[in-house]
Amino acid sequence: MIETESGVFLEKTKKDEILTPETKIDKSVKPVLAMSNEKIVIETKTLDFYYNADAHALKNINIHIPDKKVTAFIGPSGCGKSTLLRCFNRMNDLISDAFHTGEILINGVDIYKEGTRLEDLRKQVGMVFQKSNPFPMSIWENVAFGPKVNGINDKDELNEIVESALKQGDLWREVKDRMQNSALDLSGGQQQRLCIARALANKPEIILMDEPASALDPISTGKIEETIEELKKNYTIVIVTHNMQQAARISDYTAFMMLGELIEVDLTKKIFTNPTQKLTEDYITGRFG
Amino acid sequence: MSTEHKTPKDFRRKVERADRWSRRVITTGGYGIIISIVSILLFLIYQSLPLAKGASINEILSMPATRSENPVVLTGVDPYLEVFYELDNRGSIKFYNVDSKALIKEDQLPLKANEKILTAAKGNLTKEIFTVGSDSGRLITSSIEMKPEYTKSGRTIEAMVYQEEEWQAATENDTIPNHIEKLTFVENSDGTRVWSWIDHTGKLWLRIYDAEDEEEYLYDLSEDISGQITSFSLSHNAENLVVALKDKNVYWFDISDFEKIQLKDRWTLETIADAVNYLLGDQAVAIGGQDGSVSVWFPVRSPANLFKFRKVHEFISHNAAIDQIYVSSRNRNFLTVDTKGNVKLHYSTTGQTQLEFKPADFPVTAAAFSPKSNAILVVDGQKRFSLYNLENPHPETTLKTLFGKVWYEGYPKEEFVWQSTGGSDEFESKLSLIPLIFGTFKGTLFAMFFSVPLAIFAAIYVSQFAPKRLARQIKPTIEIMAALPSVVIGFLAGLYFSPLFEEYLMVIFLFVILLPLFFLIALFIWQRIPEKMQARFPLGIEILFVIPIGIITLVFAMSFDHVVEQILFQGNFQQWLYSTLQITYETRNSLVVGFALGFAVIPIIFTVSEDAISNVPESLSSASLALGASKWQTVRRVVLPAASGGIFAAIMLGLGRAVGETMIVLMATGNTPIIDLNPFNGFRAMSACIAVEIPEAPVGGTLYRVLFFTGLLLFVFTFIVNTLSSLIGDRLRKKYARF
Amino acid sequence: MNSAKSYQKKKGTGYVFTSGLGLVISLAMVAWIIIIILVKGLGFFWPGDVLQVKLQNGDSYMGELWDEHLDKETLVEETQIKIGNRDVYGRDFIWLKNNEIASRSYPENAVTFERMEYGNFYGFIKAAYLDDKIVQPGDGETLKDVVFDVHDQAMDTKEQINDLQEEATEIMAPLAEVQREMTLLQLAGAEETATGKQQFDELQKKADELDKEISPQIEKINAQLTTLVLRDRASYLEVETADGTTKHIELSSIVRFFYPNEMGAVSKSIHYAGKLWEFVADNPRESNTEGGVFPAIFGTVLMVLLMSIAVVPFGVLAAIYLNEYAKQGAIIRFIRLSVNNLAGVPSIVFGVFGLGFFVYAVGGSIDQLFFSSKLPEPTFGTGGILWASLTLALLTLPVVVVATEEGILAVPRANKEGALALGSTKWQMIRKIVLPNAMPGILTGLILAISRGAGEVAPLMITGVVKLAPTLALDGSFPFLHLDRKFMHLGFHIYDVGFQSPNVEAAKPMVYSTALLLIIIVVLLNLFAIYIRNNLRKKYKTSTF
Repeated sequence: MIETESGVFLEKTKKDEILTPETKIDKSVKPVLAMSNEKIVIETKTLDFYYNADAHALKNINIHIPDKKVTAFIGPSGCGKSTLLRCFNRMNDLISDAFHTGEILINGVDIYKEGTRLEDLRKQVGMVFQKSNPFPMSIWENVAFGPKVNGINDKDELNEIVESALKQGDLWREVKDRMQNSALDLSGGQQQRLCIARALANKPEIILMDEPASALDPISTGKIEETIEELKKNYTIVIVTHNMQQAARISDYTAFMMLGELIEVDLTKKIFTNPTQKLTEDYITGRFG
Repeated sequence: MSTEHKTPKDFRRKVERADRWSRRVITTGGYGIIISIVSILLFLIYQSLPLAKGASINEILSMPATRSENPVVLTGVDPYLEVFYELDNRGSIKFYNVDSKALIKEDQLPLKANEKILTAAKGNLTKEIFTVGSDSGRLITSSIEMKPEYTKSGRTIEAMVYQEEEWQAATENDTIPNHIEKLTFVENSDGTRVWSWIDHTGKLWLRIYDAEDEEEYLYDLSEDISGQITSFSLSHNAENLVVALKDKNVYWFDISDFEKIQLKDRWTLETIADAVNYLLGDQAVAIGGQDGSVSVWFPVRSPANLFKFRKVHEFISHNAAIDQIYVSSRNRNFLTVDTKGNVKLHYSTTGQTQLEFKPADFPVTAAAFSPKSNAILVVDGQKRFSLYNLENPHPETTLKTLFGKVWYEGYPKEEFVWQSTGGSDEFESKLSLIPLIFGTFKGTLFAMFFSVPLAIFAAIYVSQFAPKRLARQIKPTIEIMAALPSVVIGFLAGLYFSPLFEEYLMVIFLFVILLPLFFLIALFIWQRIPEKMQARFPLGIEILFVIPIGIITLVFAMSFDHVVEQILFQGNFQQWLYSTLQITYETRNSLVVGFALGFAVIPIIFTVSEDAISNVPESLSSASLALGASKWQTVRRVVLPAASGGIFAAIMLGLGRAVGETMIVLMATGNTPIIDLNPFNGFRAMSACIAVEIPEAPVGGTLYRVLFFTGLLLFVFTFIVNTLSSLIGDRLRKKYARF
Repeated sequence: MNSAKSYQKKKGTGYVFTSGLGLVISLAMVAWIIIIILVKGLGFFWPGDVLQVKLQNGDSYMGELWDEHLDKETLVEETQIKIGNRDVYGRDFIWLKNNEIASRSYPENAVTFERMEYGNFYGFIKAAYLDDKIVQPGDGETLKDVVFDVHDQAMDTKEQINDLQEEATEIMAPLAEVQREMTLLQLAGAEETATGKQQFDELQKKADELDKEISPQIEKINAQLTTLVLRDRASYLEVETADGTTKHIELSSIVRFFYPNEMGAVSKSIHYAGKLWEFVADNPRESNTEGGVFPAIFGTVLMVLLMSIAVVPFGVLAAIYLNEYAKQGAIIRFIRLSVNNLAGVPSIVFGVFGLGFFVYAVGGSIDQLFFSSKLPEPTFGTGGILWASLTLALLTLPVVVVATEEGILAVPRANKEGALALGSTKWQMIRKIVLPNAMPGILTGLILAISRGAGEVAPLMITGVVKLAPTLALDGSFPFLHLDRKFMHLGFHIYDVGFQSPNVEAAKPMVYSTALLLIIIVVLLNLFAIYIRNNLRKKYKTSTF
């Protein structure tokens, strides 16, 4: 779990040690980079992430994530793939003792830059969680939540946004007649697609998906995958999955992580057929898991 | 981004401002709660802390010798500490302003030429009336009034000297006039005046002016006394006279009957008393010895029902002989002055010597407490005046008086006493917390005896044996019981149950004794029923089984109570109690409180222990059952041990509630602060005592602060008990969280 | 046999039954207490028949049958009768030995009078007088009709008197104010200074002017009053007690009268309803032992309202802070523990704090700053409804915080993260996700706080509750809500009437009724809280599929 309850004053010195200027500057860049000739949306530079001074969760991550493609993060549990994903919209800020070194650039802008507004970042970078988390409100209210908190109050405009988001999330047909029903009445798969639609309503550029189908049955999973397939035309999608088949099915690029390190990033086809790294091959072929 | 135009800047700004403000407001609220918890504790401490403060003085005036060469025999200061006066042995009275040190008025006592004052004594603690004795045998009584006058520019003190009376002691011949060597004088509240003095022949005289009958009496007490007199003192109510002799004997005269002076007691000291003085309250006498010892004595009822003076308190000794003792008009404080000029401040009740100081290197010739006892005025042999502010807010409370036995005036021995208010100003408040603490725990103990078994058995039954449907209905019922306002329970206890208990005491006793008996018999019969038939009864049969037994027992008890009372207790239990055991039966007694208070804590103990028992994981009891244990064995050996911490926590919570409960103990007991384990007596609990007394306690006074301290004790006690109980609860939850 | 016995032992039947016994006794006690209060509290309003007993020695008493018991010493059955007529007998109750009673009867024409003073009167009506003249029943009229009629007239007169008196006070008000200021000046000794003297003279002049202006009106009113009062005094009933003593009762001092022995079940029920209404809607009479408890209900409600206004925002803020803003760690854990434990701190300790801090420290300072002209008479420096409410707010704070936290904790973390991930600010997240979902928790906390506050007495006793408040804390005179006023409270009413009133025996029924009212309020609030809590649980059970 990411909940840490270490003492308040306890590890301060250690954290300070980690945050010395030297650690920031030099890190022999291990070029686990992506793809030439593609527009890069997300870029990390020597990113290190700590839950607290004793829990070094991400080590020297350097990755480029291309525009309008699906990038999948795979790796054994606890390898840091979810952590990395949550770095992209700074969800990790919620953890009280966590800190990082290095940089994350989105469209070339450092998201940790002073003056960055979290709300804008998160509007730009939408997120779908592992377990569907519809709010205990009506379906319509759920989808309209994002636009509303971002300042859109015009009913017609909201209706339009909700409809288009639900259509993109492939839920419109199922729910258009019961928009005012509680979102909690939907089935598990529908709830998750609602969450996707909810993220889309904000008109994000990037959508982060943290094992979006892990709690669903195969049919619902298939539906979600279809939706993703559809979405990548318009959005950059980063998906964390523990299901290698899923990664192989839906992603264009795959990044393999282990023990907080990024081992290899490449075209999905290449990773699954001819990985460069021995570790990747071992993981793909199921020698460990 | 495409949506840029839809999130206008001012909306963002608005949202952010809301966010910022909400953060501030909420954080303030959060700190508010922290502050409020801490402030309750700090405020209670802040209010009770001055109790622990000792006495302190600081000099506000030091004034060098006046022009006059004559020694000062008497001094005093007005209540506002603005004007003080001196009286020298030539009868000149000079008033000085404290701030400017200027002489503001001068007056003269009507002395003859060459007549010298040998001795002077003040006669009242609240009024500046005094008598001087001269070398020509005259007693001149005067009074001084220092009255505040309010004018535009503020308050000024108008000083006046009034001549009250003069009296010439009989002289044997004109060549050697009768000297008044040493004098003591009182004027009591009726206006009756008593003078007592030694003349140059060493004779002790007593002159009384009875204001009521306007008659005078004169006695020569030397006939009763043989020996040289060192010191003597009259009590302020003009009823007693103590006389100390060089042979270390002390005589106690009762002079309340002016027609007949009586020697009441005589005792021997270990030292020669050079100074004796009656303290406020006219019971205790402070005695200063030639060896520097200081002690307080007062009459104590002896087994023969006679009053004998006993040494009660002994204080820190001086290094030189004590020659003067001055008494405070507000409390049991007194000053002792030795021949080397050391001054000590003592407090009689506590036996504490609070202060020690030396105004100058010269002996002290006169000293005085200010009328409000908030200052001390000292004049030394070099006629140097010193006025000290006396900061002594709560001399009567020490750890010992709060928690230890104290020997109060008029009591036969050291005791724990709570008696905060009395009839007169001279009353000494007795603030031992022990009777209150005892009372609190007496009530709590009875309540716990009654409630713990019932609540825990009920909890076991509801969580383990009762049919689920029944359990679901019972829990809210008992929770409702918790919501009954305690004032209702207290009122029922006081007005319904206590008379009921008094009337049906025998029935209740019989019921309590017979119920287990009948229960066992019924159980025996039940067990004879074949297993197969037992199994046919529905779940929850226990309750249906128990109710008739209770009813039968009650009917039985009600029909035989008179018979039993006749046979065992001569027809009246209460009278029997009194005549054989000397136990009085009070209508509102601890038994009733135990019942009512128990009723109030049952729901708490029940709810918490029921939770604890239900929270024992199913897997544990299943394992036990799977091994062939019976349901009861499982409960006994697996469930209860696992829940024991929670049950303990429940009992602690109940205890905390019982200790702090106010209205029930207030209404259902007689609120008598006595230490007595007798269940048929009342008691006074800390909480009830606070509720009753704090509205009447003067703000900032000793009682007020002691009650705050009592509140602090309650706070700390319940806080500790609750913390303990929640820590245990937490540990338990963690322990079983893994199942 | 032997194995059966050991089997029984193994089953622990005895213990199981014992634990059942514990439950039965606990429940029996609850039932006992509820039944006592129900019976005694509701029975009080039923118009009891009037029993007349004649003793063998010729004495005769009349009143309501109250109690019967067996005297322990003499083993004689005794009967207690509420004979009322305190002004005649000097006591309300009498115990009579049954073997000395010659006869019992229920005379048809016996009347129960409820009076403004001296409690009930039981007797027979002989005649009615208006203006000192006997009123004869007209054609087809009975004495009864006449009496009801003259009573109505007397009540009208009384009302007119009250109106006139009120009018007079209103007219006098400005003068009284000036006189008060003058007294204050005198008290402060300002008369002796030049400016003070001038001030005083000015006031004196003003007072004289006002007096001149007012006096004709006052004289007129006084003249009217005199005639009315004379008429009032001259309207009375001639009544006779059971033993034949005659007595006059002023008609205006009779609240109501009735012939209980003639009344059927229906008219008794109507009477009962009327009495019940009087109980909740009227002012108390006779040092709270009769009449209604309206001011106490009003005081309780107002105090609880003020308390809620103070405690809810503060408690909710604190709970949000503890859960959403504070850095979770040892310190917050300790604070949370302390808040929980604060709930177990005896209420009297809060009372002591309230008295010392709110009343003396804060109130005293307010007086120094804003009401120094009224000193030494305290305004806020003495107990009052504001201080009592704040004290109770502090007392109930843990209840609100704990319940709100429970509500907040029930909001799934995933929902909160979801909201943040959609770009909402923390406050938007709290307002839209946390607060709506914690609402049932907050409401539960509020209800529990109200129920606790309504039933609490000890801290109120020392921070502002009085046995009889002359005025309500909320009225029509500016500034309408008088936070410095003392108030009455149902719980304290119980304590006061039951334990401090001079005539406890006569006051008892009133106490039972008040207790019943208080219990009903508190229990209903609690049931409501339990209902909401259960709903809250259900709601979140469905949300986590």
